[in-house]
Amino acid sequence: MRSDGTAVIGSLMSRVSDQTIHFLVNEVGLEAVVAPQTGNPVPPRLTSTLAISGTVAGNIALTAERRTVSEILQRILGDSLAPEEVAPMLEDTLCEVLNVIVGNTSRTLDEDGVRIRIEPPAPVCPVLVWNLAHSEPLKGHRRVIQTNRGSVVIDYWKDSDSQEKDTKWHV
Amino acid sequence: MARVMIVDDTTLARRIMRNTLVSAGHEVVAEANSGETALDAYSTHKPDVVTMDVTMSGIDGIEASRRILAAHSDARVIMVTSLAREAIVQESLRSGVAAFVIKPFKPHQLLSAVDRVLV
Repeated sequence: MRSDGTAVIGSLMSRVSDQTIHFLVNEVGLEAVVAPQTGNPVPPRLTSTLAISGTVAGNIALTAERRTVSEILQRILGDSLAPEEVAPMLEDTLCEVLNVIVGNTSRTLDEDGVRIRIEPPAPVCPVLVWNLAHSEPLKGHRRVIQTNRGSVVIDYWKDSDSQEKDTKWHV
Repeated sequence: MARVMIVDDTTLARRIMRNTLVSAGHEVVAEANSGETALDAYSTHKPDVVTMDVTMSGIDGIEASRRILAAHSDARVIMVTSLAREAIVQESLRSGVAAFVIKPFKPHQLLSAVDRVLV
């Protein structure tokens, strides 16, 4: 596979989408399916992003409605979570969810010889990613997942800092 | 029961692990949100077991484990990460990590890893 080809990015996005659905269904207990790309999360929403490098490089962002992230957090922590703890933990929760999803994705890609290194995730302004993801070169690098508690969007884009390396893997 | 230090850069992950460990009777003696703070916290608290994330800003979990083990050869570190690729597993084992738990984990997976490294 070419390192900069749409096939690699398509495979990456399909696997991130599969891992997201797997996580939401099996770890959180939500209903989740791939949706048409019209099911965008409505504000107020949150976005976390992380950079990847290796065979394929770029940025992956996860955007969800606040109520969706709140539902994920409360289902994971259950009764141990006090109501006043929810809001301060929402950005952190989306970062951890993205980290787990992309980490698990990297393992499945590794089996196919596609190696990616993952940087720590960070919360970002949803509008920033929204504008990037709607720019012309990025069409097709989006997956929308509909849950019974709102939609979740995965975006991939490449910027000038993104560097592919097909060299020997370094941790 | 073990005295455990949790190292992870997200509050959610630390909270999940704390809940799991405490519910099984273990004591969480310290939490650290970075590799740097983990080094100091280890020296202060001398836990029986460390659970260590890999992907963190600054010193990552593999390097933090390497430094802890270099300074404390009896340290027992469990890597808890979603990044369980072969290369990372091998690198972690070379650094002296005693066990690996893949996120997201079931409670028994973390608890059995703690039991294993305490033997």
